[in-house]
Amino acid sequence: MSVEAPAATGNMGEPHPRFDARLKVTGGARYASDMPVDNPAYAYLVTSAIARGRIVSINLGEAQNVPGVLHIMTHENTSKDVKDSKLFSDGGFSGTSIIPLQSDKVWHDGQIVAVVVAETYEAAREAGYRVKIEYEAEQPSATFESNGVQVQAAADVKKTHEDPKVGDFDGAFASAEVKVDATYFTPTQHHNPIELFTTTCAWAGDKLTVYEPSQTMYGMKNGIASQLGIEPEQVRVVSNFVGGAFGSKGSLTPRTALTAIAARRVGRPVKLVATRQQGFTIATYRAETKQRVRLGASRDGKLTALSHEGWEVTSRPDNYMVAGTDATTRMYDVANVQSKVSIVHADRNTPGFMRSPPELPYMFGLESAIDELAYALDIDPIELRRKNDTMKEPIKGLPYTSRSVMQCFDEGAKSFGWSKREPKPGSMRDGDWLVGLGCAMSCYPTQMAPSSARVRLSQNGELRVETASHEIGNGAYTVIGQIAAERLGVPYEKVSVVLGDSDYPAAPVSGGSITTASVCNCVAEACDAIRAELGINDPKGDVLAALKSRGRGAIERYAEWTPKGVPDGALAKLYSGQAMPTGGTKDKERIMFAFGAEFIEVRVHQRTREIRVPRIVGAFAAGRIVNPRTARSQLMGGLIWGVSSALHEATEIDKRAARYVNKDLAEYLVPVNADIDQLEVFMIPEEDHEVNPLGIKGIGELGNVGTNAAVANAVYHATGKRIRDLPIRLETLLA
Amino acid sequence: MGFALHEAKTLAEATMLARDLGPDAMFIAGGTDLIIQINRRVNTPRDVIDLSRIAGLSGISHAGGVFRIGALTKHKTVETYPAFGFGTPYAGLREAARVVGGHQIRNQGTVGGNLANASPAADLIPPLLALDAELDLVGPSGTRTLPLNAFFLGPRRSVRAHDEIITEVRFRDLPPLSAIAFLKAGRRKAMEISIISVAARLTLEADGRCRDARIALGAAAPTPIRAREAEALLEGGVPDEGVVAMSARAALTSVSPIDDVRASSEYRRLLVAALVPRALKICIDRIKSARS
Repeated sequence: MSVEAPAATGNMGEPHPRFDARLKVTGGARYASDMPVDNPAYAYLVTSAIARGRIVSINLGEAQNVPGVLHIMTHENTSKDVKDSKLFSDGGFSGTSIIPLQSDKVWHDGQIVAVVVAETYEAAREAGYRVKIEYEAEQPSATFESNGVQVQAAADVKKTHEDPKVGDFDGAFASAEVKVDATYFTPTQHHNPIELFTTTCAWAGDKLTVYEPSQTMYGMKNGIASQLGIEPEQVRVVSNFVGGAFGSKGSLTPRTALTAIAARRVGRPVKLVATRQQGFTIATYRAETKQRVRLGASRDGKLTALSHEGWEVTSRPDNYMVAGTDATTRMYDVANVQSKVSIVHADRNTPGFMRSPPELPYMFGLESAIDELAYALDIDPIELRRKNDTMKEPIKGLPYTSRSVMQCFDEGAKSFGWSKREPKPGSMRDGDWLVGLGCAMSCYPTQMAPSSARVRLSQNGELRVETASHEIGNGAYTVIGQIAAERLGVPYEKVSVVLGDSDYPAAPVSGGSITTASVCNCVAEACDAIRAELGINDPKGDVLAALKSRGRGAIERYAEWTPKGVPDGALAKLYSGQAMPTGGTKDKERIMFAFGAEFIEVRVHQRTREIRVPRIVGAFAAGRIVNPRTARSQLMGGLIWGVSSALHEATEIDKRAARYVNKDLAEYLVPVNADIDQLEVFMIPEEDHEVNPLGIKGIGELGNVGTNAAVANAVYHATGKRIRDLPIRLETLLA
Repeated sequence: MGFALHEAKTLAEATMLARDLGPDAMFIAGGTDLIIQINRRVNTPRDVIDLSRIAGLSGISHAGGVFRIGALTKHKTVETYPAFGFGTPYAGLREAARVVGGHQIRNQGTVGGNLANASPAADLIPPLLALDAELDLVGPSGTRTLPLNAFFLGPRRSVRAHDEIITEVRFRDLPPLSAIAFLKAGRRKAMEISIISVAARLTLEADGRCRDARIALGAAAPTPIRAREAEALLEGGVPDEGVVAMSARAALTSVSPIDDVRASSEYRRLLVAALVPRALKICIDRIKSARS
């Protein structure tokens, strides 16, 4: 793996090192739970031991006797304190509509049932262990096929949901010359960011400050205000750095309001650091899916019919779904398409956004099926994709603003050595190892949301950018600073960017890969306003000299940016913390996606079936790359996570108890350095000014889409065994 | 609440404390295992006796043809000890020490603790068994010495009394033309509990015949074990491919692996059959390359 910064080619920006790199490796970056508060008390969560039923009694006697205990919250003393909150995906703020401590009802295993506040963390935890709860348990339903689950069609429960459909699938499939009809499964997965779920709440009079790692400053500010029944102006949220989020910190979890209430009751700041185990049930996760994909094609490889049906697990009360068919029905040129998404209610916590929420599971189904079709047709998998490549999506016939997927396949294939691949499964060997080469398409919708920012240029040459966006590992500090520097012709070293504080101008949730496009376009507008004010319209003109010649100390501009085609009232929603990403498939006139091609070499030991991945190659085209160094890092991380999602990661569920069983990083496997060998990332220059003025598409989620399929396709090529149920483990290959 | 922590300054103090406090007292050294057990309430000791301040129990020494590893020696020290480096006959020890947890764990966890835990999957035990190591146990009524292979009774059970402390594990220098190798299988390549681990040690005669063979297996039975039938097959003859394969089959007669969440018993047996020849081959290659 090359450690040199990738060169900027085409329209790419400079590969500046991450602004926060040194801070992070030296411990200088302060995460939410590092923020000092005066005389804090510590909270510990007590979580339910059953997945369904009710609390019959709570005995706090022993717990209250633990020295240092200040207060214990249960539903008996807290039921009315938290107001109802709507699901984030329904226009609210929360990752779940379940409000712990509201009643004696238990909705899922590991639900918060008490909060102990004490002088020390140890005392709080000790008392937490001594809270005695008696339950009346009912038999829970764990997942697909469990008794008592309730299945609903997505279209019946969510009025905005559409199941994309065009032509006559049934007829076309029935008469197709070659068919694939297969069912795929993707497992439950948890984000497991290294930074745990923490919250620190401090009241000063009726003003609340919340320190919490978050992907949505304004969402939290407004969400917590509505849950506590106070005004948003009374709340400030601070989160300068986030130690991994991947979607898990994008919506409000119940812990925040409970910590705020605890702080109010004990009259001092309260700090909560939930345990790794609790993180599995007090926040969201990626739910398991089941998918049936049917493809019909003519003998020469032209797709004629595509059907994608998906089933996703969710909680009892919530209709959360990812519905990846929105994308998978639009990737290929096929005239007859149908799709349907259903949700399966079980006694589980509500799932939520996790890196590439819809595409990661659903592209596994589609891209595995395409590979199966290639074998059925005896056509090279890349050539099959080329044959069905399209510049307009088939459902409504909307044009792609740009689509460089085949360029990605060609560049990637060249570097990977695809031409040396023997097509027949099981035909490539190296000693005791079966060698398999596989590929898959990656895609991610290009999305944006309204954004605001303030930019100030001072006479000493310093440029300051303020916006309540988020550094979640995406390189936000760096790329925002780069755009401002470039726009005003100021050296990058002179720029300071401040993020992660709801006192700054509103920025949308950092989810859906929207941050770089949304915030950078806004910052560019503010910079342009400064130029205009100084009368320097020539991009090469010296703004600093103009500022000085006018005798001004500084100039500051505030900008609001709205992407094309957003619904009315989008700007108001930015300030109320409810701005939802638009673009992708939501635009009425065009369709916007970033694409990639991913190549995997696997080696499967012929005797033990140990699976190794010696080589990974990804080629991506995602509009303008602002910083090739941070971009490559994001894409690498995505590819590695993609391999992980194919071979390592799964949350195991005890189906009798509807309980997660591998709730720590020892048992929830993610690959270690030694599991990843050669990894190459190519970024194909692509210009697309239709998506937004700066031509940025966003790459945060692109890298890990399709990787799971590429691995499964490579495993098939190595062994002749098609694995449709992730993760692929040696026992599945032995069976 | 919790437990009382006692800081022992001497071995005598520690053992007497343990005797007086009774079986609810536990020793702690690096704490990488015990603290997790306490947090999970798998163990709820009333008293914990800290051994980490006792002088003289840490470090590796080599004198009089014997390597001595003090019980408080960290895994990291074993991993970086020059005489166990790659290119030495003892490289297998480094291979085992460097896959114990991550760096932080290896800087904290101790060799004595790894042995005292008596986990069938402990990484360091197979290579020490292959080196015919012995250990010293010190209790309130004196010191006893026993071969490491007589120490283990079952999963997390050993002959150590609750008031006895492991002070040292040691082994003699290997004869010329010797090498030891360690292999471990897990779902990923580091930070993983062994599904199966294998340590093999060979000593060859100048003519290439095998003078001495040791095959030790982790996670293959209720305790770490030696595959004695497999060893016997190797000794006296030239360890060519056929003999090595036969010995791997013989190793299977010594194992009784369990089914658990990490692997089935059947897969563990398959791993023994695949890893034993691999480890033996590494030994042979190492002896050859040291010779040339």
